[in-house]
Amino acid sequence: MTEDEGRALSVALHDVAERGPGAPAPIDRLVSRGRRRRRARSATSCAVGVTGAAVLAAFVSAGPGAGRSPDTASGTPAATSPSPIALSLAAARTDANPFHFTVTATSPAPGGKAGGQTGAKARTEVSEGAFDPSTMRGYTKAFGGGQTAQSIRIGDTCYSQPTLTAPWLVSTCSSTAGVSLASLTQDPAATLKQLETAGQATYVGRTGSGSGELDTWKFTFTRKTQVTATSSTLGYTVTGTASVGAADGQVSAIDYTVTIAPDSIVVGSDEQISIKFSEYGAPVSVSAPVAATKE
Amino acid sequence: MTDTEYAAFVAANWDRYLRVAYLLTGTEHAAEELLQDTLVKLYSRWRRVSAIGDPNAYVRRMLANGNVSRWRRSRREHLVDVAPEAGSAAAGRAGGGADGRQEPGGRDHAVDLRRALMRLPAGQRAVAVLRHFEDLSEKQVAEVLGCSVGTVKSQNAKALAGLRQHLDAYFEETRSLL
Repeated sequence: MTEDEGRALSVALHDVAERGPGAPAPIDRLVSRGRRRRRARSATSCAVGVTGAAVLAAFVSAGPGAGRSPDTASGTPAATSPSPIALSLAAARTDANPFHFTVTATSPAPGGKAGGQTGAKARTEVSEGAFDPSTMRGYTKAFGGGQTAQSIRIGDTCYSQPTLTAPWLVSTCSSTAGVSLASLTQDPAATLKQLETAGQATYVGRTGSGSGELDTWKFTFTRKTQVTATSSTLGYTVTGTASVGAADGQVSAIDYTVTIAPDSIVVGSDEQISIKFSEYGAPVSVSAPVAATKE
Repeated sequence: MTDTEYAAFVAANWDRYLRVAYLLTGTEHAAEELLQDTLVKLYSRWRRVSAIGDPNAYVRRMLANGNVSRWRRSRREHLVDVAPEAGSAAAGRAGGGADGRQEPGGRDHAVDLRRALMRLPAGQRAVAVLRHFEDLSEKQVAEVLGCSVGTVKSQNAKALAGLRQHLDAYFEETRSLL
């Protein structure tokens, strides 16, 4: 490409663009839609859970050392105690199972940190819901600020209701619907790949008896990336535990906390998110709202 | 988060990004839809995006990515020989450019360019628009699109090849004006 061609193309593109649309900016409409979307996003914080589950599944299934018991790591067969179920195997077995979750997000008070460095009160929002990866059906209810917001996903269709008295809105689910940790990158696979190389899990031990025996693992990892385009940081630390049923070899529960780096541009500023997954395998039943308005 | 700051940003940049969106999508309607969707998303993230000081980078990225998604959904329409928006109001206006740049025979190379632009894959189009309309460096384009500088170079070269094939006449005309 010659310099002349570049300049010619520049001139031509400006020529084309200047003949294009000239509508005034619909600022009021944008603000109105933006507010509605923001409320709907808080209602779809189940995406945090869903993303978190996917992240964790990938993490436990493929991270270096992840899912490796002390015995298998050393190559020595267990002689006196049963070997723990490998997390990678449990994650694979549980991958398509429906699950229920609770998400607790803590945002900082104005001028303060999530941990509460000032006297101001931090804001806490609790969401609960369920999701079935095999049918792509799920729901969430978010409680915060005296309001209850709801969302339902049925396949590629997403419904949201910002408050219990508001009408339901319907739209096609976007790949970034309810973005949270997913917005770390436009390429979730890349995020998962990075997590895989960063993950570590440690076997804690087996508790319970009979069909209630559980293998427990703990894990912690930190992700931090500099974004040169914006001179900003993307980062968070995940700590938590995972329990695997010794009888069925499936994930029984996952409980972890995501702490957003203070200078990160992920999720809300300085947020701390606690996520608990449970009731793996329990059916998820949702139905479409009767009267929903297209968003 | 202040609505005032957001409104000021939108007011100051609406025209510019509407043109970017128009070059990316090829139609007035799609351009407005793409830009509005992008700005609605920007609103819901305004506090964070504005805190890091560069909402423009966010808007460019969302426009480019949004259009790639849109293009993937409807690329069959973009592969037809004549752009579907040929009969639109924009095309009508393009037939008699404000600057009068039109051949005596009635052929308007700006219309040809727009059609050729729409026939490019969305990724190449985004590179061409960001590089030559937004006047970003190859490094800046790479950062906006989340790819390597090498990819930007190759996409840019392919875009130009695609446009050159159909628009030699336009380039000759514009060269003579430089």
